[in-house]
Order: sequence, then structure tokens, then C-alpha cells
Amino acid sequence: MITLASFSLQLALVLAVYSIVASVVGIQRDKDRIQYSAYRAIYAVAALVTLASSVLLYGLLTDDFSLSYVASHSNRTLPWYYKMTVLWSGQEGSLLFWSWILSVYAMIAIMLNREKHRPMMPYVAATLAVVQGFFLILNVFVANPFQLLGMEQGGITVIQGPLDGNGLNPLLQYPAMAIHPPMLYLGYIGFTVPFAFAMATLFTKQAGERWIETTRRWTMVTWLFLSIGVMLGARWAYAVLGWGGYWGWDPVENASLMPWLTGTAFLHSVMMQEKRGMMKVWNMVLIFSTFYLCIFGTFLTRSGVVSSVHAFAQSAIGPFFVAFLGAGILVSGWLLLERLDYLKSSQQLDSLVSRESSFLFNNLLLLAACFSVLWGTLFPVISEAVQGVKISVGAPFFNKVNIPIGLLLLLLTGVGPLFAWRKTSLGSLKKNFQLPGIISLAVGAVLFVLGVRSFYPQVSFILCVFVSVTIFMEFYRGSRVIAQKSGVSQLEAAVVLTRRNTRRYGGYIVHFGMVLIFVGVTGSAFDADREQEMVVGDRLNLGPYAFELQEISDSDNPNYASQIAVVALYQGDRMIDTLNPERRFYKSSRQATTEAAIRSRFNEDIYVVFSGMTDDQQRAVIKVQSNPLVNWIWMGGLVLIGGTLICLAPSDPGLRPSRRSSSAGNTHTHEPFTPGAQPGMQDEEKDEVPV
Amino acid sequence: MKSRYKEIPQRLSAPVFRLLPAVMPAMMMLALLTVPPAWSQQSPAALESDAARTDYGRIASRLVCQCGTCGYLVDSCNHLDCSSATYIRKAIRAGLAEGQSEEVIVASFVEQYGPKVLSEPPLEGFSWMAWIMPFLGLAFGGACVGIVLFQWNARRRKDPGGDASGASPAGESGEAALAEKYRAEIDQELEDL
Repeated sequence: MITLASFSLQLALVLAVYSIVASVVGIQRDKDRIQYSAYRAIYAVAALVTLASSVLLYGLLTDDFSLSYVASHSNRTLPWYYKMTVLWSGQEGSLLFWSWILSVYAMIAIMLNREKHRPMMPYVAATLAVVQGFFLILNVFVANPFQLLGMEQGGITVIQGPLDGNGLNPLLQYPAMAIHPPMLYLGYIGFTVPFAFAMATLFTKQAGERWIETTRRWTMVTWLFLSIGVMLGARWAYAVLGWGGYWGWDPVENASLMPWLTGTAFLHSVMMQEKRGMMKVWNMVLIFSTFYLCIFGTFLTRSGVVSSVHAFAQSAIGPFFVAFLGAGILVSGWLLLERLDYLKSSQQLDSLVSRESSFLFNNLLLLAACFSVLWGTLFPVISEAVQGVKISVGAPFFNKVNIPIGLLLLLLTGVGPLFAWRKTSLGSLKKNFQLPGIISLAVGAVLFVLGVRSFYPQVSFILCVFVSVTIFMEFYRGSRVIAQKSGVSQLEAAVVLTRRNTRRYGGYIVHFGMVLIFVGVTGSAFDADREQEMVVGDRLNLGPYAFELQEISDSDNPNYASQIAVVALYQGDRMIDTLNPERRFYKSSRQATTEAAIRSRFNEDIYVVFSGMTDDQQRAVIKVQSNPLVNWIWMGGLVLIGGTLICLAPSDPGLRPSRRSSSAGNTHTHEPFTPGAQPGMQDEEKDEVPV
Repeated sequence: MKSRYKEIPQRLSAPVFRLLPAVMPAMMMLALLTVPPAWSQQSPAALESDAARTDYGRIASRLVCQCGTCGYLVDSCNHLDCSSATYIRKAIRAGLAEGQSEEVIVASFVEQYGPKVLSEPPLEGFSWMAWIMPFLGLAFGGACVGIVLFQWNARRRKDPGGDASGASPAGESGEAALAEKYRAEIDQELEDL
């Protein structure tokens, strides 16, 4: 079976190459049959990589330790669901997983579009096959997951694995970690499809918006996956790594953030092309950047170029990625320059105060944030190359550089959507921003009086309120008109309003999710912590809380042995909770970890870590933290997901709320409401907020 | 021109609906203001993050764990029995116990490990580039945006009536005018309520 899996990967590589050749020949000779054979080769690649992935998964679930990969990353006592996650926990398996997702994506993209966009599809297929071929080369020649373990017996090599494996990295044995990598991969890899369509557009010299219309929804789904992946990663870091934070500006975290930033910029700037035919070249640059940043992120994680707690073991895979990135950037860059004439459009700007300008500044800030993250991530390598001395770039640097940019972005989140296309009048500006301005400044004043006087937290809270008010005003104004005309409740009208233009109002909800995330992140400015060596009965004070170490107990199961501290939490004299931070020792991997105990509330998390025992084993080292507002980040993430799902739902511009008769008491009459009588709403349909 | 909305009976003129835009943000503000006990039960000075940190914590957050893999701040490194972080923490505490200043303690680690032990690039030599480049990039991007806006604006001045943009120019122009008109109508009605 393992031989079959290896062979299927090799055959998949051959078919990917065939698909490239057949696409090119099909284009040159203009033969549909040859082009279709290229598509079928892509379907076959998907089937073959699925087969190979299934075999590896079967090997993991059945503890086939003759497979080197299984022996290195799994063990018998690992629960079955974590055995499945081993598929993407190591270098070889995760690259196979990558290939599999790409093959399925490619198959779906071709199936959905081969008839709709016939002239473009051979180029799309060729581009997808090139990327697929690259990963299959890695699967077959560089990081083969089907390496067998053997031993010499009587002059011949017998396939035989150890009785048990090394086990999964304990840090990865966490539920969110079971979903986080697939989500990130779905996000990373998904950008290959819009990239392929962009390349096809350049090859076929099509200057229009077709590729954007075709891939908009796809890009949004991909962006959603990436967003979920980033959020789950933050949640995992918070709950598992035990340092009390959720974002450490680790190179691998940064690698996931960079394509998210450029992808976000792309989702905004495509609006300019859709609405005004503007920024055609820029959109190409953005989707290329996003795709290459995804590949670059994969390179960072796997090459050992930068040290990271998340990184895979250092391997020889780096040069392959560098070559692929270099060649890809050269080809796509050359193609873009070659086709500049086809992408030109004579744009005009009616006013600097317009939606167009806000999109430009939005893109500027997102790209500036991306550049600063990239620069900070690579600076240790650059400094070592330039001056021979490695300079570390940690969280303080990223915070100092990115906080001002982030706050400006937050401001634009509130201001941008209220600008009209082409031109916004002064009166309109005043009407739109007066109330949010007054309310947010009032909140700022109250917070100042209450003692929040640091500059950044103060500005951040003011902007959060400002953006929230602008968003609620937009919902209120639109829904009020519907409510008045149809007699339905304001809430029902808001639902109707959203369903009529899901993209616009879903976008607002996404923006509100970002506001909640900003509130949560701002809360970290008020984090407090304390660490103390304690014996049973000792107390530790932090703000209004007292922590009493009541007991240290031991526990054991086949996977790990653990030591648990029982810590009573007091507020004043009243005991309000008991927390049980743990230290675990995983037997197979022989690794120790800490399991933080978290008391999570709407306004604050209490985070307790059992850091270890003192050298004389007499005292426990207990670290406690108060993390205000951290839950708002997770709430914001959920709102962001919900908003994006709404954006993805089709709009129903003709949706009519049922009119309720005010004189009918409990009887509801369902007279149809005429949408044509809503000129304002018709206009709203034209206006969208991207996510 | 008379608004078509005025033909509809205005049933929802209760003050509560007028205040709706403020109600939700107000709830959010309420949540913000009632947030952590740390806010309400500590003195304002304690709200400042720096003041809430001990000398030890401040120094530990300026240094990076030197184990070679994690890259965490010494303050944050939570790897059990991490030889590097544990050693640095003990040395910081020892230095503070001896009455050494923050700068002296940090300098002793720089001497021992080199500048890589610092959690952010020092403001000297080539390391300045780390700080300058992001803002230089932002300035460069801002200049590019400025040029683009200038060019677009110049085209409009040159050809005020024309627009060769791809997406139905006439229609867009009409839409913009309509959008502004209808927005004004909605605003007018809100005021009339």
C-alpha cells in the first residue's frame, strides 16, 4: 500500500507536468481536446494525491511505525483525533497535505469555470499545474512522507519500525491546534486560484474585470479561512504556550499575518476596479504579493532561516522555495510589465474627499503594516548579513511600529465607508461624522477622568467608539427607512436591509468585528502580572485578587504524567473560584509543558501558570496574570467570521418585508411591499463595503 | 422635489428609535467602563502599564531568551526549565538585589551575549535602519498615493466631462448624483422626525 502511495505521488507529478504541456500545446494549436485532457490530468492529480494522503492517514491511525513519518510524529497512546492531526504536524506530512488541498482546489476551480471562461482556462490550468508540480517535486524528492524504516538482517534490509513512536509535540495536543493548521493552509493555498486567474488575464491580454468577478467570492472564502486560521493560532498561543499573550510577533505568526494584510488590501481595492475600472495594475500587484507571501510564509516556517517556536525542523527545503519564489516573481513581474498597456485606464478623480481616496489610503496603510512586519521579521537575517552581528527584533519593536499604523487603519475603517464614490460634500461629511465624533470624544473624556491616560489606549478606545457609532448609524438609517415604509420592526428591517445588500452590510459587520478585536488588543495595555515562589497555604496578591496555593497533586495517564496546583482565587475575603494550573510530562516525546488555568470573563481573564518547582523542590513557582478585555478578541473574531459569511451570501435586492397593520392588533397582514418605491435603497445596492 | 418617503406614515418616531444609533455604542461604552476590577478598584496610576510592572518585569521584557529556538522575551518564555531564561531571570533578580540600575543590568547582558539579547534593535549604527525603514516605506507609499491622486485629479481638470474608466461611466456618474440626492433625502427625513 505504501508503494502504491509513493507511486501515486510520482504519477501525480508526471500528470501535473503533462497538464502544463497539454495546456500550452492546446493553447498554441487551439485544440479543445488537448486543453480538456490537461483539465482531466488535473482531476487525476487530485485523485492520486487524495489516495496518497489517505494511505498516510491510514498509517497514522493504525500505528504503522515502519513509516518513518509515523514513527517520528505519533505514538500508540495518542488519541485518534490527534493521530489525524499528525498528518500536518511534520514537514513531510504537511507538504503532502498542502499538495492535497491544492489539488482539490485546482479541480474545483477548473470544474466550475472551464465552460464559463473557456479562453482563460488553459492558462489557469497551466498556472495551477506549475504550483502543483512544485509541491509534488517536494513530496517526491525532498520531503517524501513514505520513507520506510528498515534494519539489516542477514545482509538484506527488512522493513521494520520501532514498537512505538516518538509522539506528537505536546504543544500541538490542543483542540484548536487540530483546526488551526488546516484553516491556515486553506487560506494560504486558496490564494493560488485568484493568482492563476490573474496570470491568465495577463496571458490572454484581457483588461477587463472578469477575473475579479470570477474570483471575488473565492478570494473572500480564502481570506475567511486565513482569518480563522490566524485567530485560532492566537487562541492556541494564549491557551497553550502559557506566556499569557496571544500574539508574540513570532516569525511564523508574522508569516500568516502578511498575506492576510495584502489579501485584505486586495479585497478593498478590487472594489475600485469593479466600480470605476481603476487600479487594474495595482490589483495584479496585490494578488501576486499575497500569493508569494503565502509561499514565503511556508518557506519561513520550513527553512530554518529564522528561529521560531512554531518552525519545523531545519531542512534542505529552503533553496527549492527560494528558486520557486525567484522564478515566479520574475515571470509574473515580467508578464505584468509586458501587459501594462492592456491594463491602463484613464482614471479620473472628482474629489480628494471620496471613496476612491479612502481606498488608496486604506491600501497604503495595509501595505505599510505588511512591509513593517516583513522588515522586522527579516531584519535579524539582514543585520547579520550586513554587519555580521545578529540583532533581535521582538514584540516591543513590532508594537511600537505597528500601533500607529493600526490606529490610522481603525480611523479609516470608520471614515472610509461613509465617503461617497467620486465626491463627498461637506454637508454630508458633517452629518455623517458629527454624532460619532461627539460620542467618541465624550467617551474619551470619561475614560480620562476614570484614569485611562496613556496616549495609545485612549486614542484606540475613542476610535473604537467612533467606528462603532458610524456603523450603527449606517444600519439605523437604512433600516429606519424600511421600517417606516413597511411597518415592520427596526430589527426586522435591519435584517431585510442586510439581506438586500449582503456585501455592504456584511462588510460593516466585519468592520465591527475588527473594532471588537481592537478593543481586546487595547486591553493588553492594562495587563498586570506577578510571580511568586509559594508553599501550600501561601497567598499572592494581584490588584483586587488574592491567590492561595491550597494543594499540589499528581496525576498519571498513558500519554502524560502531570503535577497540578490547586489555587483558590479570592476577591476580598470571598473565594470566587478554584484554578488548577498543570505541568505535564509527555512520556513518548519526553517533553514537559505547562497548562495554564484560565478564568475567563467578559471583562477580564485571570491566567494562572504553574511554572515549576524551585531547585530544592520545596516551593511551587506560580505566575498569575490579569488580562483585561482579552475575550473581546475572540468575540471580534466570531463577529468577523459571521460578517464574512453574510458577505458571501447572495444579495436579494428585491426582498420585501411583510407590512404589519398597526390597527390589526395581533393579526399580521402580509401585504407585499414594493421595493421599487425605495429609491434610496436601490442606491444602497450600488454601494458596498468590502471585507 | 418631494421625497417619496413622506408618503409613508411615520410610525416609529418614538425617541427610543431616534436614540438607537447611540444605544448600542452606549452599551459598548458601559462594558468598557465596567471592565476589569483592576480599573475600578485600583488607583489611576496603577492603570498605566509601566507603573503596573515591577523593575524585574520591565528589564525581563527588554531581553530575549537565548535558548536559540523560542525567540521569546525573557519575561514571556514559559518553557519549563529553560536554561537560558531561568539563568537570565536569576541574574536580573540578583542584580536588582545588589542595587544595580536597570541600564547596568541590561548592559551586562549585552556584554555577555551581544546586542542580539535585546528585544528591540538599539538606536545605533545599522540598527537605526530597523526603525527608519517602516516609516520610510510609509512615506514613500504616501508619496506614491499623492502622485496617483494628483494625476487622476489632473486628468479630470484636463477633461472635465470625460471618464474612460471601465465601469459604465455615464451610469456611475448618474449613480453618484442619485446617491447624493437620496442620502440628502434620508437625512432630511431624519431631521423632520
